[in-house]
Amino acid sequence: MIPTEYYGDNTRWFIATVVSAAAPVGYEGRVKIRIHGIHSESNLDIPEKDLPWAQCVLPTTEGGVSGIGRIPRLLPSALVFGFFVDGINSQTPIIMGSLPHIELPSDIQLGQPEEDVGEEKPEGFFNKVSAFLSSFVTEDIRNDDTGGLVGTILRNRQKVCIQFFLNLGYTINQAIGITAGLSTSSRMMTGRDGIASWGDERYKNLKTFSNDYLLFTTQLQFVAYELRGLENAANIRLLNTENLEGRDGSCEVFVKYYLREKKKVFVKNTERTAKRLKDRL
Amino acid sequence: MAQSQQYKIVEATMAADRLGGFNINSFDLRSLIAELNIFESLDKPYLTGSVSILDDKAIFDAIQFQGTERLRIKMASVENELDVVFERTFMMTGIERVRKANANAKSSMYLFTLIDEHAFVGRIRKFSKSYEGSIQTIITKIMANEFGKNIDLSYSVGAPGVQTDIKCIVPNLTPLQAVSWLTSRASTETGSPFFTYASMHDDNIRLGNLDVMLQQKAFNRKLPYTYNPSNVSIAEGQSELEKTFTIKHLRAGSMSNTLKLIEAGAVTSKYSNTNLNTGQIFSQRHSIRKTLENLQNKEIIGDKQNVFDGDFFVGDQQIDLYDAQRYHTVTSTGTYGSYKSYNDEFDETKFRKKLEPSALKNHLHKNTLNVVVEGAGFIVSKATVGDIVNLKVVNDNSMTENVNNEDDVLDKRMSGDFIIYDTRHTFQGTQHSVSMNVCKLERME
Repeated sequence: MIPTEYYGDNTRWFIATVVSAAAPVGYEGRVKIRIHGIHSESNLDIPEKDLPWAQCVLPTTEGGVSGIGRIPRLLPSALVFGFFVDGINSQTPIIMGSLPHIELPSDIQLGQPEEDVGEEKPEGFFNKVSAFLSSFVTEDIRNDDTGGLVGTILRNRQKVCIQFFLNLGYTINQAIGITAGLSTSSRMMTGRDGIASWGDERYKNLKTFSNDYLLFTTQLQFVAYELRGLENAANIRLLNTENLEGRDGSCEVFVKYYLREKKKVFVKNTERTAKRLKDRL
Repeated sequence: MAQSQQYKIVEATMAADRLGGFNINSFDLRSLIAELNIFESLDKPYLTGSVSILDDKAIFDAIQFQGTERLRIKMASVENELDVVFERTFMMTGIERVRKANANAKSSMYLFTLIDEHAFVGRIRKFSKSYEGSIQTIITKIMANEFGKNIDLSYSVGAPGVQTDIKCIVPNLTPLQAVSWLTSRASTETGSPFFTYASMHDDNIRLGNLDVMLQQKAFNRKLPYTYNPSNVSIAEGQSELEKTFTIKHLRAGSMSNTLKLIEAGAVTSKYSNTNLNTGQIFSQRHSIRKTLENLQNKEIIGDKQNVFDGDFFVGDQQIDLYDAQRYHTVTSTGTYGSYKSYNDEFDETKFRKKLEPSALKNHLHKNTLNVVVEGAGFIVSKATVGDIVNLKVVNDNSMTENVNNEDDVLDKRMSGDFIIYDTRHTFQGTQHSVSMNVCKLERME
């Protein structure tokens, strides 16, 4: 079936995940991809061996002829964008570029039945993340304690917090910046306004987010949930930070844009806490 | 051929899952059926139909018809009810029309649409799955896995598909779409198209091609369907059996629209392909002249094809030297490793086989007739779409002095062997008629 007289009138774009970048001899520069929405996620329907080796578009700074220039550097699990040159027949994919993304455990890794996906509240997703991370929570954090904390419990909560955000894909400086900000804001106490001292409106959102809103781990999940949703602007700024301290450091960005705290002294205190945390690590 | 027979509906039972199914709670509609139509088509791997029901018992009000009901139909000869000639369970997909049937409005005439159950299933879910093998093998696998149906390949024996094995991923299509998608990619060495279709005579799906169909003998070669309305004396002299082979009605559809065929690229076109793996461009021309010559050389059709006028000049060149369509496709060999993809051809000369099937299909429809005959011959001979039927139609020449033999009075265009493309079987009481669309590529010799 030839869909249209001219191939350019019949394009179909896609997002795909790279499943193999080790192209056999003769297929160098290609990557094997599983295309979202076209290729079944099940290996029973489409085993990896049957997936297409897609060619990749390279920048015009490369020679574009055989044997000259660089080859794609995509890695397995890379998220790529491209189009089908054969349109609705959808057999010949071409990759245009890759999409940087934060990798979370997949449903399979989380042991989540496939049919449950899409029918859950946001809390469910973060619960899964939390469940996945629970193996890292070996310290005593007194999860349901909403009051003041003695030194060891506070330090354990800080440790878990850093680990939590590291596992969500943040850098060590970003994870420490978040933890220091929360510690300065509430000393990691979940009572009153919560670990981020959320105002009325955001605290109401926390209550909607989960019935277990007083748990420390739930509030950590809510921070992550906000960063990926309503506080996305803060998240983008945070993801662009490299340093811990100073102007545009993770402490300042988290305090100013997520905690919405404008006092300079607050930023200074956060940076001091962050430094201590880093030293301890 | 056996004697003419009459058929009647011996079972017409309606049931619905919500009412318990056939074994718990079903409705006998036999006496209420005014007319039953069964449709076969070379383009559909399933049967469709319609049934007119005169409801004077308020059945459809009582059951709250939802379009999820099933209708089991069984037909047998009038003389022997055990001689079942047709048995099928259809889904009743909807009410097409309802009207009050009499003056006091105590009954209503319902017209329901029917469809084979596997066609219903084949439309309600999409799938994405990889396959490898020949196109025919893949179609057979899909039919078996998705529909639980066997494929009857007898209509492609001797003329297999020319495409070598492929690896393809069905890109989220319904099973019916997938079968149609694959069938459209297959062709024989001569460029003839493949068809997946169903017959009312059995439950199998047939996968056949035009080459094999055209080489069959007409199922009624000994007793052609004859159209000669003016010659009453001949009709009077016919036996009962011969009378059933009289054409009741004949109509020629829109025919011979060459311009339309040219515009569609069916007469001539240029095909180019860029292989992204090598950067090479391959070009080829398709001309229906060559395709028909090839069919003639292989004696699949005779030497009197009448669908293409090879002597037609426009401007200073023959019509098939114009490129009415210029196809350009892009492929990338190696996308599926050492396998060909759905789009690829390792032997690039075979790219033309992407164009020839639809070109031949289009030309087949250049000579189309609609013919209505009695249905007995179809049931007895198990004739169906894809079979050949022989017609004899008298010509329009009123001068009869120079008639030397029977062929001299025949309309050569409307007579001869035709492929049956679509049929409509209509059952009214014990009356059974078949309205068929038939077509051919050549003039009667």
